Amino acid sequence: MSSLTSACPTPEVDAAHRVDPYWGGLWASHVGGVAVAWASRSSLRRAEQHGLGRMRALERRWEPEEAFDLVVAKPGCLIQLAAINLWRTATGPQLTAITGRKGRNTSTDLPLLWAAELIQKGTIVNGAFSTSSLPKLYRPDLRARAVDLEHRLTYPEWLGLSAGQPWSVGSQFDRHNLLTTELSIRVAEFCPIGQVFGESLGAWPLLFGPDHPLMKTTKRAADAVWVRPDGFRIAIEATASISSVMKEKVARWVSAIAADESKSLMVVFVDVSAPDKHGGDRVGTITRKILAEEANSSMDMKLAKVPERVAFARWRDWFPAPGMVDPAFLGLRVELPTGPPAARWERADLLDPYAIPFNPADPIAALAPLDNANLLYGVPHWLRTGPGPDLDAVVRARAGVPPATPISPARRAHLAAIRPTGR
Amino acid sequence: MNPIAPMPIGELNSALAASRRVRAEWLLSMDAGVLGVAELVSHATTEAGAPLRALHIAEVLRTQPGWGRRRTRVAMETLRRRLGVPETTPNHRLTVGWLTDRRSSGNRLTALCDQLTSDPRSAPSAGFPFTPVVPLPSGRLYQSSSPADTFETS
Repeated sequence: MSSLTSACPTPEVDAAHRVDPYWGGLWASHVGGVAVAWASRSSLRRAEQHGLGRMRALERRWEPEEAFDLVVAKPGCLIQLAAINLWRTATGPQLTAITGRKGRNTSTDLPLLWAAELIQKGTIVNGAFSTSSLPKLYRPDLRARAVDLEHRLTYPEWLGLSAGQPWSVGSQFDRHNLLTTELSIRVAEFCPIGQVFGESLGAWPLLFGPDHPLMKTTKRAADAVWVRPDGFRIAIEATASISSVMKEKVARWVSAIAADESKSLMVVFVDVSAPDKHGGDRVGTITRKILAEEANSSMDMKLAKVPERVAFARWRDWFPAPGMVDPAFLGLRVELPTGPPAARWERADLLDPYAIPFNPADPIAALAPLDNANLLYGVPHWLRTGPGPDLDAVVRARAGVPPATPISPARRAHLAAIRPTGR
Repeated sequence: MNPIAPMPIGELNSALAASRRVRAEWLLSMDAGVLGVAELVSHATTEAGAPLRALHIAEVLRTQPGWGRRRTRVAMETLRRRLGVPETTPNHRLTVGWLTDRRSSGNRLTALCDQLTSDPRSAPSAGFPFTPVVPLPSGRLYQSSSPADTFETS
C-alpha cells in the first residue's frame, strides 16, 4: 500500500499510515457486540457529579454554550462535524485524511465539538493493549441541538455541514461504519473515482428519486455511495454478518434496482466479515447465493438488467493482507451474477465504463453530484475541485429577489475611490 | 455654499412625521403579510421610498412570522458574521439603505435573503446532491406580481 501513490495530500494519515480497521486487530475482543465505549460530555459530566471519576482538563475547558459559540465561529469545526455527520463513525486519523484538518492533539476542533455536545467520542475496548495507543472514534450525538446550530449558520455553511439532510445519527454499528469509511477513503485515495459519499447521502429516496414506487415510506439507505467520473453511482452495502433479514434486504435492493429506469445506479455487497470469524467464508457464500437467486429470480429482472447492476466483492480480495492492495482494487473488480447457472459469477471492473456502461438521458445532469459535492465539507477534500453551484442565486431566488448583477471592475474602482466598500 | 436650501422648522417636522408614518405603514403591512421584503427593498431604492432606507434590518426581520427577539438576534449575528461587519458597527447602523448600497455588489441583500429563508433550511434541489441545483423562486417572500428588478444590481 505504501508503494502506491495516494491522492491524500496529508501523508501522515494516508491509508498506509492509518490503523487498518480490518486486519489491524482492533476488534480482537469483539465479543457480544460491545467493542467501543462511547462518551458524550453530558454523560461524563453526570458521572463526575456522582463521584465516578473526573473529566480531564481539556474536557472541562469549555462549558457547552461557550463551546457552541466557538464551533459556529470556527470553520474547521464545521468541516470536522460535516465529516462525522456524513460518515457516521470515523477515527481521528480518518477525519484528518478526509478534511485535511489537524487531529485532536494539535487542534481544538474535535474537543470543541465534543464540549458543545454535538459529537460523542469512543474508545476502543481492546483487552490486549493500552487504549492510548488506539485511535479515538467519533460519531454524531443524537441529542445535538441541531436546530440551534442551523439558525446560527449561513446557508452555504448549513449545506456544507448537513449536505441538505436533517440531523440524524444513522445506524451506529461501530466496526461496520468504520470499515465503510475506511474503504471509501481508500477508493478516494487510490482509484479514479469522481466522488465518495457516506451513509447520510445513501438514503433510497435520494438514490432512486422520491417518485420511485418503493420510496414512499422507506428508511433504507446504502452504507456509502461512490460516483464514477461519468456520474454513474455505486451504492455500497457492507456485510459483516448474515442476519435473518438478509434475504429480504437483498430482495428489496433488487426490486428497487429493477424499477429504476434511469439505470444510473448499481449496488455492491462487500463482505467485510472479520478475518478471524468462526465459519470462514460463510458470509460471502450466503451473500452470493442470495444475490444470485434474487437477481435472476424472474424474467422481469433479466429484462431490467438487474444482474448487471448487482455485484459482490470481498474486502479480503481487494486487501489480501495487512498493508497490501490487490491490483483488482484499483479498477474496483467485482463479481456479477450474469453468467449461466453453472458458472453464475463473472468478473468486471466497476470503473470500466465498457464493462459497466452508463448512457444517461442527460449527460450534464448526470454529473450533478460531482459538481454539487464541491459544496459539501464532509467529502475527501482533494475530491472537491471547484466552487460548485452558485448558492447566492438559490437564496435570492427563494426570497423572491433577482440574482445580483456582477459589478464591473471599472465601476468598482470608481465607487471604491469615493469611499471604502463594504462586503 | 450649502447646496441644501434652509427650510422652516415646521416643514422639517412635517417631513419627519411623514417619513415615520411611511416606515410604520410598511412595517405593519409586512407584519400582516401584505407586503414582502422584496417589495420593501425595491421600493426603498426609489425616490418615493427614501424614508424606508432608515429602517433597521432588525426591524424588518422582526416582521417575519414567528420571529421574536431571540430569533432576530441570532439572525443579526449570523448576518454580521457572513458579511464580516466589524464589532464596532452597531446594529442600528445596519439599515435598508446600508443593505441596498451598490458598493456591496448585492452581498448584503444576499445575506438578508439567507436569513429570511432560514426557517427551515432545505436542500437547493429535491434529491440533492444527486440532482442539478436550479435556483427557482419559491414565492414565499415575494408578494408582488411585478419583478423586483430595479434595485442594487449594478
